[in-house]
Amino acid sequence: MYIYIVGEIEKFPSMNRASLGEFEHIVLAAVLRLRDDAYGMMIRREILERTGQDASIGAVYTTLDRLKAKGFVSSYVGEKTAERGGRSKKYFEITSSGVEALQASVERLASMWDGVLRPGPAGAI
Amino acid sequence: MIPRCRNSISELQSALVSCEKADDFYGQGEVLRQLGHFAKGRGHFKESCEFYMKAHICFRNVKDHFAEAGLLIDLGQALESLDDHDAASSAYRDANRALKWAVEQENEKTTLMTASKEDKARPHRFAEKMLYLFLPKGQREHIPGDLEEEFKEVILPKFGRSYAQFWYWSQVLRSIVASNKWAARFIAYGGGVAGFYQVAKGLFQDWGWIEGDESEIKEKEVKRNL
Repeated sequence: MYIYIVGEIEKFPSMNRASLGEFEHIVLAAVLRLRDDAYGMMIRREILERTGQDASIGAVYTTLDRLKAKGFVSSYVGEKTAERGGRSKKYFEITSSGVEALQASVERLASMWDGVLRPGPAGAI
Repeated sequence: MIPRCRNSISELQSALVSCEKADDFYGQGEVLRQLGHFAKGRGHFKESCEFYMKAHICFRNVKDHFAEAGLLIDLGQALESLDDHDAASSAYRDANRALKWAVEQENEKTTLMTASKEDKARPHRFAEKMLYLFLPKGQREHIPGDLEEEFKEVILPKFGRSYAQFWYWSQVLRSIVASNKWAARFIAYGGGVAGFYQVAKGLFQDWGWIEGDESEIKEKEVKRNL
């Protein structure tokens, strides 16, 4: 159990400018879908609703920070509201290089699956 | 024990005795008030005044200012019947004062209840402090804000307070681990080292590799000598 926990910690994704990791891909797609309403909790909710993956808000923010460092998203600080205990929201927007990276990632995946997935009974692969 | 609508004076007296035995000031006050009404109904105004005075003291002891004010008004009416108008007006003044206290008391209660309700409708403060302590500087404002918004708008109305607090705590711990590698390492490795030390200490002492402190050594010597 202990070795598993330490292993999980050491598996933290490293900065790789060339490609998008799976979770980075999901987060970037969520930002693209939400458009003007893309802030931490909404992104988390979108991921939960679409993929069923219950990501922690910390994981979402860490990924967003990494995407920002890569230049795939930009951010701006929004309004402070009472229901947030007087704290402000941090909105994210996808940049043109973010859209390109997402498209490239989708194309890479599609080319890998090309010819492997074929329609048939019980979704045979 | 709160006696109600006693029909005879003997019933009221026995109720009063049992309230006195039980140190039930509220019950005593209520019985004495009924005794006062009983005496007043039969034209014994002097006796009724005495009962009202005693009842007034009982209610003051339990700080029931509404009941106290009501009694002082009854007392004033009984005193008016005895043509003691000065004492009656003094009783009415006291009733007015008691009523003010009662209103203040009610306001305090309402304020306390509102404050406790507000406290219940927000996450544990300690969890918020944990977030502030372990999150990187850039995320200290937005992550707690997002979590509080979700807590208040979705989780609390949907699942109730206990689950909402559990959810908040789980999010806090997961967020700390996810957003701060060093905090996660500190918790995991620190816990591991502490656990390993405890196990090793236990094993080595059992095998006699560690002698332990002076008192343990003396105990062992005593056992050997026996």
